[in-house]
Amino acid sequence: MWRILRAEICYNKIIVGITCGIALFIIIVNSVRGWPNPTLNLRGTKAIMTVAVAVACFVSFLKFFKEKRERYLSILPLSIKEVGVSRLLFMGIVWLSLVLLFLIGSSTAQPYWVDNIIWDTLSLTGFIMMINAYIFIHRDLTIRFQDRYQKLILMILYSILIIMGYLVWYLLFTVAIPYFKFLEPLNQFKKDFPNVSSVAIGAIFFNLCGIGLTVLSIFIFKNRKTYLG
Amino acid sequence: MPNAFELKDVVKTYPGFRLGPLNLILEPGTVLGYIGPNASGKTTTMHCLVGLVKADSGSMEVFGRQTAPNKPEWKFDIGYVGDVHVFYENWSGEKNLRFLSRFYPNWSQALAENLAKRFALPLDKKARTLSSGNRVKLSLVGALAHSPRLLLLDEPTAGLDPVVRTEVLDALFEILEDGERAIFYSTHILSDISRLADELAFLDNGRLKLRANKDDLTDHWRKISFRFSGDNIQFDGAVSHRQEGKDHQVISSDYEATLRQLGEIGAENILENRMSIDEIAVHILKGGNDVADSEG
Repeated sequence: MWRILRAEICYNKIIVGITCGIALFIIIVNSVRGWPNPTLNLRGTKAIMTVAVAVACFVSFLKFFKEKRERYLSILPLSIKEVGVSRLLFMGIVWLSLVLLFLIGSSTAQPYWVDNIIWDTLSLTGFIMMINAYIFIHRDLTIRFQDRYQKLILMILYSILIIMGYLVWYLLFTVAIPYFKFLEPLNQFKKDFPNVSSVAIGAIFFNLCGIGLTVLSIFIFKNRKTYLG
Repeated sequence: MPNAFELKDVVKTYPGFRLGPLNLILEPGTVLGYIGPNASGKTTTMHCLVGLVKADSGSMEVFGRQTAPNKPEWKFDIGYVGDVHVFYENWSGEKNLRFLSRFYPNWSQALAENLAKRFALPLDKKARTLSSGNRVKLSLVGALAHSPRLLLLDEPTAGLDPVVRTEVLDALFEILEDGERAIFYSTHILSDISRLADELAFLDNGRLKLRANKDDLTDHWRKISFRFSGDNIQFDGAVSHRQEGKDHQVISSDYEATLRQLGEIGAENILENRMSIDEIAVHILKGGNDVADSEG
């Protein structure tokens, strides 16, 4: 697994280097100029980091899929699970590198701000984990469902998932919470939802969803019928 | 010693195509040519064996180990070259080989370099800049440098022009003629493998039609022409029979039996001709019932 990851980072070193360079540049500029007002929540900085990671991953995934990397790796003496996990780790490693640079830089400049930005950053990490896993889930499902009717089934499946998500939300907050007192802290989550990424429960929520989708992605990959890419 | 591979009742179904149930065994050190027309299931068999495609049912073993997707030890024994050659395209051949070397404990960098030299393969060039012939060669070096006990070659020269194809095959056969490894070579061009193969398995429309020793085929098959005035006679060993008036032509898979019968019925002007392996293959794949169950 680490051998693949190392190879992917080495193979994409230019784009990873540029991405980390951008993050480093922002951190240096912010450190020199003084970090912005904490009430701004460093949204611009994080937006730039997110876009940088998105571009880096878009470029690397494009190469990964175009060069039929799954096919290449599936022939090697590796378990399919290892291949599935290593595909997911690339974006994670790039993102974590940026977050580390960001946190180290910001805490060095203004230590007390780390508390302010930690939940936001963790929420964003969970969100990126979700997007990363979703990209591979979608790819694996489109490989599994290739003919016209199967694609239709896939669309219906996505729609059902969205409706189910809404139903869970509705049932939880309008039906379950009034009956089950132990669920009451979730009301705070609902109240904070517009700013959910800035609170602990939001970070937990996004990360749990991210982990859930990641596990689902590995499960779907393991159960693919073909790895021809 | 366990078999190089053993397929038991392997079935793989795609819309409009079904491979199997396939039963096939390859003994260590044997070279088996896997012959069939396009879309007969050769590549699907290879993909199942190497783990690129999951069979719907049946079991597969490589040197006694089940081909389980999460216990990849069986892949240490396999060298695979498919019809599609995948690499890290922006890496040189050397870097691609170095990447592969991390996965095989038996990898020999010296052997890889030696093979590259024998293939006249420029290892310093990026994979994406290599010609089709050199891409095949790079795949072959990658498949051979860990000295696998089983080599799976799935039409490795597909898409190459005749000159490059001959060049690749000559170099490959020179390396493989040591007879140390089991080779499963699929192709629809019989001349590609007839030089090297000990045995041939014929696949058509997902079904194994015949598996036979190559020499047995060339020894027993004959094109026999003769004159005989009778009609509606079933000739022993006849695979096909053409008649124009009194002139008959029989393709026989057991020429001795056919000649014996012709002698008994008083046929005249009997001429027998040996057949090339290509001619035999055409007749096997063109007609007849499945004979795999009895042969192999």
